[in-house]
Amino acid sequence: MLAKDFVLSNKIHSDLYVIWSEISYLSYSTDLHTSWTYIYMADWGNLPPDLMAQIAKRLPAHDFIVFGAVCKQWQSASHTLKEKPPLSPWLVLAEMEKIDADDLFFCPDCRKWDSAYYLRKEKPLVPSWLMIAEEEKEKVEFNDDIFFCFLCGLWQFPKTYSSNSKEEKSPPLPPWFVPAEDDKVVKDAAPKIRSFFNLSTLKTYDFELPEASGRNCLGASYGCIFTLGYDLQINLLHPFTREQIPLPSMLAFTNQYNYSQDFWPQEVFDTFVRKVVLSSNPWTEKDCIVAAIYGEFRLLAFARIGDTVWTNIQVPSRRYKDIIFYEGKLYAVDGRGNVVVCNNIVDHNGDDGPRATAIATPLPTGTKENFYLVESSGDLLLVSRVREVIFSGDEEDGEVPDEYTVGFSVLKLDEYSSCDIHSEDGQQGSCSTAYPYKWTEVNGLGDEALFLGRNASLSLPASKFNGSLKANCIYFTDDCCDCLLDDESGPDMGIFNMKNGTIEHLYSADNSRHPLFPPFWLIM
Amino acid sequence: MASKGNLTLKSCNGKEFIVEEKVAVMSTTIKNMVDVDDSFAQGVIPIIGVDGKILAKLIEYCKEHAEADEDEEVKSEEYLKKFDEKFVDELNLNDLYDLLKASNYLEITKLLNLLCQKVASMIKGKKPEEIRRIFNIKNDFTPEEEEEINRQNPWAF
Repeated sequence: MLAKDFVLSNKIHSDLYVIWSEISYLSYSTDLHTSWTYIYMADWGNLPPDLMAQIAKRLPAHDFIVFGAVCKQWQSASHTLKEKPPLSPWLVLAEMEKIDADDLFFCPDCRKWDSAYYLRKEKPLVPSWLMIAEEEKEKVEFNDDIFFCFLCGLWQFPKTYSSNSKEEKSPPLPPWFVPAEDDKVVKDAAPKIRSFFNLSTLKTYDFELPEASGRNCLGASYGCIFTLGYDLQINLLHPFTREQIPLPSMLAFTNQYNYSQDFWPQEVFDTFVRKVVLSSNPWTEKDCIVAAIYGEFRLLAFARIGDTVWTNIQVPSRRYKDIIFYEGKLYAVDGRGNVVVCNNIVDHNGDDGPRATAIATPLPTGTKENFYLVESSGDLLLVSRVREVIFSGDEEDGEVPDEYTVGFSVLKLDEYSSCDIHSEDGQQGSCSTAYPYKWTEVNGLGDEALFLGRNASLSLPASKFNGSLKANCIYFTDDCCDCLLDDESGPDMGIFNMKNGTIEHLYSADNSRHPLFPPFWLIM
Repeated sequence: MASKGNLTLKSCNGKEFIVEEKVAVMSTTIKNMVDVDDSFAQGVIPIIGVDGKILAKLIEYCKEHAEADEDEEVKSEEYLKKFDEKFVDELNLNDLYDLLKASNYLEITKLLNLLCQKVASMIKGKKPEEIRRIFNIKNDFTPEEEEEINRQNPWAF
């Protein structure tokens, strides 16, 4: 077809033509008995690099990778492009709940593999010989390699912990441990696959990710997934390289429940940590700080990579909903919309740990929505998510309240100007000037799209994703693990359009729901 | 000799086109030539490496857009959008290629963006082998190199 397009005759001798155009001349004979005729064919493989770059930068990330796999010239063009299209967000889908080897733990009493899920739902049989007081641990004989893996990680932990200066304030450590999974034992284990839904291609991809298997994924930040498993170890996992960085364990938070023989820490591993965020990319930045909302009272703590304990941050209230690093400081919002800031998280003075203080005029009382903090176009936004209770279920079990998101509203952190102070002064009893900032309503997000849920809240410029993202929208997933423990959470996700207030359905399949660990956003 | 306000463009195969200056200076390259050297405005401007067929296409595009820039009411944004769509849809692969290079050389930014977007849309959602077939590109990767590419981004293919 191409050959018919254009037949060159004398042009080949034109110097000008040769200067201008790198055109391939295919020698082609229409008839073996006649002379050779030159067929003009555009040589797309040798398109000038600047033009290739112009084309490549208009592609969504997925197609950009395909572009580089077409031929060597295109590959080198894609490699040299300075501003590569950003990888579009992934929705990390829930691990399918199945009673198979993936979810098994080893019960030393009965010497059988049992379901971890079963263990959580039912009262666990405490394997008596695992209840070893710390000083007795050397007497224990381990006659099975199975236990080595789980012991080596956690067992060492109390030692490091007690050498820490904060020893006296620390709660006593429960001496029980639950075996980790072991591939050698679970020979017929299915490959440990996690499904990722890509927002650009709208397809689901399976990744082998045994590091996340059976573990609670606490969300993601800087393209890393935080996992917390039955071993109570918190890891930072890169989903594609599968490299891991260990963080201080769940038991290294200051405020713990009162564990006892009847109440294991393992029973709360699925809800203990609400959110974890990073201050910077942990693989490239040395001074990366990890901050978390944790525990029964949803308090704040932080750790540097390499720390063995989480350091508490002193806060004026409880039940924090979201945290974010913004301009190098840690901001947090509680369940009433009060925002606090911690200025000196690392170089704080005193033993109490760093302190966070209220920063802006409180919102009108009575608001009980879920709040998020997100940096968007240089501003700090406070997003409130409004859910409505909808009763569902059959008559036998009684109606089950289920909450669904019905809308969002967005506020922006603004400095008080002098005229604000003047007008506020005029109002009776109001003392807004006690705070350096106030909140002003935002009607639109411009080109930005917000990603909210269990991930570190993030705002992305939609236009940079070459058509994969919708501008002025909020992409949300379910994160209401506090209130819906026994219900299947997960379906409350979608795309909220700020312009017309509509909610578009996002994804639905079996793995969009999970009783404990619903899907979340992963942005590389 | 072109009358005042008109320029003469000459293709590499000797075809001459008399166009209004406002149409010709849609090309930054031509604009610079005219600005720097007045003799170009009087004489013939050689458009090196662009043949008559492609130059005619370029002029067709620039004419529509120059007129639209001048009078928005006559040629609305919507009209231009439809014109652009029709313009790129009617191009065969060789013309697309030549126009792409010519608009790059002549710095007709609007057209260049339009054409790059067209090529990008032809690539989107396809597999490498489909793209090679469409653009008639030879796969010059060794099987080992291909395997390495697949290994790096298994989800993309």
